[in-house]
Amino acid sequence: MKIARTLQSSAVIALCAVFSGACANPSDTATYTKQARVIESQSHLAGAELAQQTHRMQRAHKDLVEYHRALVTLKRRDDSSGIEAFRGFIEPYMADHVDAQLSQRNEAWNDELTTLDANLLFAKAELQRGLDDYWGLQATIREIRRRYGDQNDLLVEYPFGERNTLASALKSLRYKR
Amino acid sequence: MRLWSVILVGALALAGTPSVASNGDTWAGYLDYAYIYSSATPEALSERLEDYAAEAGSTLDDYRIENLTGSDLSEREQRRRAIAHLLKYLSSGDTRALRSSVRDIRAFQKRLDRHETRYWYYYILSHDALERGDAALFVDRVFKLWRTVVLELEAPYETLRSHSLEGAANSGFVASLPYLYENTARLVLIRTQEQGLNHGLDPLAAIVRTLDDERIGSHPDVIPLDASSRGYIARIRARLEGPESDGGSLSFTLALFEAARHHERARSLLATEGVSDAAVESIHLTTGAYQRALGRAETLQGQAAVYTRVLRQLGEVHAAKLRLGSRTDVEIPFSIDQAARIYSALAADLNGDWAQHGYAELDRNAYLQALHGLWAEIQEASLNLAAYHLTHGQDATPQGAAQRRQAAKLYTDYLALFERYASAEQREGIPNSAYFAAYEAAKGIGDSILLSAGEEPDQGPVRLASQRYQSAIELFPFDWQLWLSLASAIELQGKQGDYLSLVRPLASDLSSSRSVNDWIEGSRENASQLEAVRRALTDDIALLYLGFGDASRIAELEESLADLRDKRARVFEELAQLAQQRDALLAQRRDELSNPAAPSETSDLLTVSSQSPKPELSTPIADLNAKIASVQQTRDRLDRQIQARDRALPLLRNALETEDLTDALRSRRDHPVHNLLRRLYHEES
Repeated sequence: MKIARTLQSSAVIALCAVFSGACANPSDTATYTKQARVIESQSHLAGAELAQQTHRMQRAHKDLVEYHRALVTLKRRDDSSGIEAFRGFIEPYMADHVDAQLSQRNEAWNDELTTLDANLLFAKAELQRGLDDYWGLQATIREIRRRYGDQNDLLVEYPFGERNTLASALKSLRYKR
Repeated sequence: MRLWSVILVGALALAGTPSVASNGDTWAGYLDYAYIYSSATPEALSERLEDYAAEAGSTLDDYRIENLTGSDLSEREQRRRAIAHLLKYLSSGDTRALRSSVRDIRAFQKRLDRHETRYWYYYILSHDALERGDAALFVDRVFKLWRTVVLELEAPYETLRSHSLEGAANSGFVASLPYLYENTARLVLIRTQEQGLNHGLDPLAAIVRTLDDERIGSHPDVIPLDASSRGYIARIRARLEGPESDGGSLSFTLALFEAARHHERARSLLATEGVSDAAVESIHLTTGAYQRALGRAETLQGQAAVYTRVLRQLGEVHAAKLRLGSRTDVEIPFSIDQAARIYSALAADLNGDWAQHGYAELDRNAYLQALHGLWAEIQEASLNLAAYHLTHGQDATPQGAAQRRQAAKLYTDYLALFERYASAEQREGIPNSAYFAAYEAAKGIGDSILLSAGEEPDQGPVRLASQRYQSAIELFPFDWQLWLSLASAIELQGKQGDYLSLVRPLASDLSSSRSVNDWIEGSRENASQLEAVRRALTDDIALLYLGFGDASRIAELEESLADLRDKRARVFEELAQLAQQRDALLAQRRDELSNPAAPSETSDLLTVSSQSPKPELSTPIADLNAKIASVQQTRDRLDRQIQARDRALPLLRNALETEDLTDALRSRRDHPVHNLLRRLYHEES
């Protein structure tokens, strides 16, 4: 997209300006390369794009929370045909929309995006539990561990409406009935 | 939804519909932008299509036949043809046009790569499913429309929006997103109800919830807020998640919403036309809609929501009939008894697992609110119906007697329900106004009985009437007419002498009530009126007047007080004259005896002291003394009477002014004094 290309070009120019000093020191090449990657990826999500990514992830999370509430209602009413109809919607939705957001993850994301990413994973897992998709649930738990296994203190929104550390949220997710 | 007809059709201008030169181009433009106005009401859509036809110089049908026939149409033309058929169906209800639209759009089944095509594909097929009454198919198609079109357009729309390009001429179908939100909302919330699809919609609650979440109404620059369905969807969602839901069922919520819409119209007709044919027809439509909603209810929450509303209508109809003196038969196939059974089932878990009845997503207040709401309608419907029967049961005919029995039964049933649930364990489930309603019912039973009583009534019913009046006084001692009614019942039993002994304990309960005292001391609502009654009830004379006088007789009582004062003045004059006569006789006697030891003129001539040496009085003086003593007794009695009436009459007059309070409590079920009546009732327990 032309708009995106224009923004990316600007970011590269800005990157060179910031690291012009580092470029001059051959001994710092490795450090430069690493930092450049980080800042380049951050700069790809600068300004409007960063805001858009944040907005999309927030929206996906809010939607998942609402979808989960709808699913809980169907289950409480023992509406098996309703649940199947909902499954027909939510499974491709998660594949097309949620996973698309999750696949955007970049190690250089800021704290807000990182938290949103983790929240989205937990929301996805909760939906999978609601749909009795235990295989999918285990896969999502593994993905949470793979991504955030070393960030036990990260605060995430799970169970919905509560803030807990990732370690505690994972525990709730695994042992929730 | 009227706003659609007004606004969406006018939104073409906002979307920049091309101003075109040729007839064909005109219609092509309108068909390409049909997502803007296709959700209008059939009438508005027809009108709009006629306007476009006038502008284009040919009707839509003519344009389609001339420009969109043949097998060599481009993809865009094929799509336009499908849309043209759909518009005809939506504006006229012609199902052949829908079938043609479906046939045309199905040609794209394997070419759904464009959002625009996908939108029309699933949109048309959703209407087809609705027309077939196939809920599962409808849900599936709406979900596909939502997932593969609406949600997919969101990211590019936001990108364009962030650069203020969403309205640009080349923004394409992405710019349609705000309209797609509106169209989806209308399809699910309104079109389903118009087509009578009121089951199997629950999975779509997922979409309704997210439509309400920063989607509908979030593009005021494209669709002004007052033109969007923002308020409508917010109300639906509030119902879906509120105490009037059925465990979150969208089908139920929409059915109840539809019924409420009919109810509004019926209420309006009743207010403007009375019990007219149109009003009765509208009431029947409403009850039919309520029956459908009840058929969708799977939880006690849903059943309670339906009965709460339908009983309101029952009460409204009978109140209107009573007000207008109408005897038109209006059949409402819902009973107060069934409502009471639902209440009982719901209240059975007041201190247990109440959430299981549909309130799992809500707090206990919502559950209590539902209980109170249903109770309030049971009481109102019972009282309104009973009042209607009682009013029509005034004559001595067998029909009149039947009406009175019906009234008594309604009052008795309500009172029995009240006595069952006003217990310490259950009282949380009844509203404050239940206590005043119980007073009305108790009084109503007494009135029904007394109305049936002849000159020599059976003692059993009269005794029951007397007991009910006493119960009514216990519940609401501030209605002076009650004391009068109680006295009448006692009189019919021939026990007028027992009146004071019966009412003194009732009056004493009120005088010593901590709740009433706190209320008055705290200068709470109507404190001065309540104080007036409380003071009156501490006075036996006032109590007697309450029982055997009434507001119309208070002037008479005040006149009699003036008479007493006149009498007293005359007695004083008589006493003075008698004293003069006696003085004269005494002086005459002193002269005759020339006795210096004669009684002093300064001694009290008006009394005869028993301790003074008895003089040798002549017979006339002794007679005068006896007369003076007698008149003195009359004077003392008059003094006591005047003093009593002087004290009691203002008390009575003030107490009689509480009639306003009775009316206020009857018309305002949220009046603060209802809370006092609750406290008063439970004071002992």
